Amino acid sequence: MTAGLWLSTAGGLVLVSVAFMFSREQRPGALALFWAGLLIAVLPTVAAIAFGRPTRRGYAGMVLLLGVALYLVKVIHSPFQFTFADELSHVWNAQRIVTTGRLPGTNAALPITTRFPGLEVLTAGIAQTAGIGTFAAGLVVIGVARCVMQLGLFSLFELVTKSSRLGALAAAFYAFDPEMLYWSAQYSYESLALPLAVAVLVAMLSRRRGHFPADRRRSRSWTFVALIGIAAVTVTHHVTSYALAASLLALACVSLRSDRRWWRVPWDLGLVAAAAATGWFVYKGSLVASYLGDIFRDVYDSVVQIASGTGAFRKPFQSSVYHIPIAERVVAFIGLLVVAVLVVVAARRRRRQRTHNPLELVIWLACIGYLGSYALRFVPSAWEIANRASEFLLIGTALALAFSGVPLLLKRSYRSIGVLVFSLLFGLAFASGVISGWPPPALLASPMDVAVGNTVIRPQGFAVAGWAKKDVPAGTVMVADQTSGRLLMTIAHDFPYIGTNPDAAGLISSTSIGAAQLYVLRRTHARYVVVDRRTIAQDDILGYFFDRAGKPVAQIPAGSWQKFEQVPWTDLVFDSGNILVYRIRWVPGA
Amino acid sequence: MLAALTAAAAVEAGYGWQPHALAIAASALLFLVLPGAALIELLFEGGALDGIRRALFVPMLSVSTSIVIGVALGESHVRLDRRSWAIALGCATGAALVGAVVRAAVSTVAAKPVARPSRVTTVGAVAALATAAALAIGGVAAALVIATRPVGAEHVAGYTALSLLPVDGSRTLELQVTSVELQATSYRVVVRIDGGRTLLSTTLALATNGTWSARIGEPAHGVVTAQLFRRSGARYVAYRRAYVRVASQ
Repeated sequence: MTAGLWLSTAGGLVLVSVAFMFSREQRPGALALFWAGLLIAVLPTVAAIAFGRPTRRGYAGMVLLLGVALYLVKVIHSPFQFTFADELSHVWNAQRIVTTGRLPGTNAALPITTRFPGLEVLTAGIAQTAGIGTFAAGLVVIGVARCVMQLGLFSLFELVTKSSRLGALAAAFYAFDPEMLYWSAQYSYESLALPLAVAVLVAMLSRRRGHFPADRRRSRSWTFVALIGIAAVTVTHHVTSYALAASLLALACVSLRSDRRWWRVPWDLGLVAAAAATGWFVYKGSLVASYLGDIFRDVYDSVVQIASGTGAFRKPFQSSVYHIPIAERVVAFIGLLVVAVLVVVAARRRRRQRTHNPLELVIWLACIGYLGSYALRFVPSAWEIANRASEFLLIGTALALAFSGVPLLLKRSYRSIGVLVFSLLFGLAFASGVISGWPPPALLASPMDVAVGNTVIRPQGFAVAGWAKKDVPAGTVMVADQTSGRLLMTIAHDFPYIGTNPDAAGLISSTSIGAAQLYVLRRTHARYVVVDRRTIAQDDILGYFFDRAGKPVAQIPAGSWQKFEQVPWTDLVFDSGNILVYRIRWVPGA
Repeated sequence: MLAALTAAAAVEAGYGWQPHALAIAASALLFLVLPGAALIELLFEGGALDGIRRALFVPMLSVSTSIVIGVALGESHVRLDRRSWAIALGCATGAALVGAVVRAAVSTVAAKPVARPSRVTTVGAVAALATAAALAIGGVAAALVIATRPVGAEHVAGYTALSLLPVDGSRTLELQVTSVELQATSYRVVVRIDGGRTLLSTTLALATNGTWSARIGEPAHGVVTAQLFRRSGARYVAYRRAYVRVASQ
């Protein structure tokens, strides 16, 4: 069976790779091939977990295989370099550490990442000692993190359920996470911190008190393991460190209800995690307040606007920018429905079974939070929070799903039907997560490295970054859109300004130069403004690639770039068709 | 064995040749395996952790230790380079191993190894598994090869970049044309001042990824405009432009 799973996984990955090749070459059938490959890579392994009777190691191996297969999908999606928005910010930090030997002080695209340098420090260390690039080192780091995540989830669920089978099933259900395929596999601090946090939870649950000296010694050992993990999480990612502290404290709190010593969770680790997160916040991470504050303020404003009737609800699983086929929207809704129904079934079953595990209270709270987070998808500024929260809340929800009616399907008498029904339901819920977690046009790969004869060409953003690296003095401030700015940062090692305060996008998109635009130029001390005429340039996931021949490219209003040609203090110094670079000779009033 | 591996990995990572397969292996061991393995030896009696927990906690502890040490070094303004990494991680791993040896020496409790189920494996089963593993590795490798193969240019749009920029510290302008078109392309470049006097007029042909550049003595004042025309059939059509205003000094 193991051999069959390896082969089906590898076969699925080959299909996905061919699908990406088709999508890069604009051949038909890419989307169908992608889904076929993805399901072939995933479903046999999940069915084997549910219906096979492997050893405990076998279960762990299957869970590992599932996670690695999904990680490889992301690797073959972007095999040349990091192309997701946050990846470019993190890899710039890592490059700075490699070149300077110091922790980076600032980051033009995502300043908060410099305050939590765990991921970049590790990547830079591997790159320096192995003599490889930060891209390869980053892939290795996130790959190892994915393995830790899968084994951590299996161990965590196994400890709670006391069953390898249920533990493996729950770990398989975690694949419903909308962020599992791409977001959690990207080179980003959360992709590393969350697996470490899960391992800390495993260490915490492994730390049972006993009467014998060996038990006490082992308890101290687990405490040490958890403390190292807490320290690493604290300096790697803000939200994960807060979630870890909250989880440890919540588990300690609910375990007070238990009269069984085994389930008692001491307060010490939760308090240490909270103290560490607070201490790091005070020492380094005060940017967190403005970073998270801005996000939650936007959500609050949206809710207030909706409540007051001045704002509109967002249509979930739809986009004003992309066309999402009706079939995909239907699958997304049905998949969510499947998860909701299974959670309800699980709650009823557990109530009947009268279990006394106090930790289950946390699981049900996570379920409520997970399903409730879908309500946030109706709020314009909150859908991303809903997506991100799913990573944390689905840990509890996956466990609840394992408690659901699924085992009924697994009875021998229903076996053949059970496999079919289980695979169908799992496929729907998994596809629902994939669809709702990532912009559908970005599910497939886009053309970046294109072969022309014996040479390879790259899109215009790379050309402007290469030109800036060669011809613009280091340290020169360039105001840019999201995509050009990130490429400038990682390739030219410059300090592009793409921020919102003052508003870089506003400067570029406005059709005239007034006080607000002059204020941006004065505040940023910009010497150049990069204008990408494509509207997609503001999309930091899809904006890096070649335009498709013969397809019209949506453009921002002509006045957006013409305004720079109507004033006497700018020069047009670079023109590649879509991208124009204006040199700011002086700024009136500066 | 762990101590020997640690010493070898630290020396190779810190002082060895690179890039080199050995340096990559040493780095992987130093950052992802050895610190965790040493801590497991220190914290848990031999065999106290089963294979799955080891597979989880060896990389977890290694990664966590590396992060904590790296951030501590960075915050202490110690330069993060291959030598500082090799020394720091080598020392930390070595210290854990020394601790493990001392603990084992003073421990009065006999280690209780985890029971391992007996397995009967036939040569045929091993051969089948090895074949499947080879095929699976081949499949994944094929997927990666397909993914990294640059796609054909049939469906993308090429472009040409024109730049005109004053050269630092001199009164000249540098004009540059870079062709990223899908085939060799002919151009005509015309540089004028204030739309009148021609400073440069030439034709050129560039292959894909080809670059042409020229320096233009900066005139006293006026607007220097560079226009790039691309050959289309028998005609040259306007394609790119750039301009620089030159102020009199």
